[in-house]
Formats: sequence, C-alpha cells, structure tokens
Amino acid sequence: MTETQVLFRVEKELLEALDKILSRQGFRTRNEWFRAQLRKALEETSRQRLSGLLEGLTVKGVREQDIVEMVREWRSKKDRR
Amino acid sequence: MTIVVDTNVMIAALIQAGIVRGLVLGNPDVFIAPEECVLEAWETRGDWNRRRVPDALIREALDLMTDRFVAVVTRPTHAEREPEARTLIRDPDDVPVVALALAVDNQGIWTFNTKDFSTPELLARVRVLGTGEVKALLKGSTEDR
Repeated sequence: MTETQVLFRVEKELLEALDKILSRQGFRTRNEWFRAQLRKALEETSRQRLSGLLEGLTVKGVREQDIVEMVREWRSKKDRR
Repeated sequence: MTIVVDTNVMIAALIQAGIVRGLVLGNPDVFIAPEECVLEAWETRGDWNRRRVPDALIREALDLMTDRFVAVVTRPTHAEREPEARTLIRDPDDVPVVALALAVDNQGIWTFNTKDFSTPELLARVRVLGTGEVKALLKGSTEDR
C-alpha cells in the first residue's frame, strides 16, 4: 500500500473536541478516524450512485420466483445451443 | 460474516426494489459471489434489462455493486472444490456457487431456488438460506456489534 501524507487546517477547538471522542468511538489515532470517515464517505457516494442506477433498472412487480424462472429459462436455452 | 450469493440474488438486487436490494446495499462487507455468476448476469442482460438501459450504465451498476457490495471471487479460489460440488448439485451452472461455499468460511448460500439446493448431501455440507434467514442473520449480527 502506498501512503500519501495529508495536511489539514482545522480550528484548535475542533481538534480538541475530536481528540475527546476518538477513543469513545473506538479509534486509537486521528489517522484511523480519518481513514474510517473517508471510507464511509466513499461508500456512501457509491451507494447513492448505485441506488440511482438501480432505480433505472427496476422492473415493477417482479417476484423472487419470476427471477428463478427467468434464470432457469436462459440456462435451458443455453443448454439447447 | 460471509454469505455466498447466487445469480438469482444478483439479478434481484439489480432489478427488484425491496428487501434483497436493501440487504445487499446495507451490508457492504458480507456478500461474495463467484465470478461465473457476475459473468452470467452480464451475458444475460438482454433478458433482465427490461427497461433497455444502455450497456454502459449496466456495466457501471455491476462494477459498483461488485466493487463495494458483493465481493467477486475468482475461479482459482474455488476451482479445486468443483469436482465435489458437482456431486452435490444437479445444475452445472450452480457448481461455482457450491464450490465457493465449500472453499471459504461462510454462513451459507443465499438463493431463491431452495428447491434445487435441497439435496441431503448438499445440506450436510453447506447451509442454504432464504431471504428471511439472511435478514435474521444480519439483524443478529448487527445486534452483536
């Protein structure tokens, strides 16, 4: 893993407030906290983008059994080829 | 926690709004699928893409889903277990799913097709889960945290 160093400017009070809650939230260092927040933010962005894409793919009224039948059908078509 | 998903579940997450999609998107580090399932989903998009969404967007949806929400496991991981899997499941297209479940620690295979995944020999080796059981397992795991 290649790491890059990042410098931030932040108000002293904010940093002190962060330091107070770090261990309560299960983080040992500011670095750990920052990485976790970054991952969370990226995950949320991906989830929102994916949700939007899936909205466009959604077929109303389709049931689990319909999907089972659809998969069965295309597999049997493939087997006949 | 690790749960193996089959092609049915992948397709449902793509085209069905509701509980399956919610479980997949809400639990990013839980689900895995053999690469064969993802390939099958891509190759059959002409059948399930009823709204004629352009391929580029389907590709993006599949990439995002497999990048963050359903980890794709490549064949070398489970290839060695395929001969055993063939003796446990009739449909050759389900062999990769069973082989993967035999190859890695997991809580079970999530499928809608519990009928095909119901031989005593298979059930002696892997747990087969319906959507309700997956929901219950994940609820329990959230409460454990």
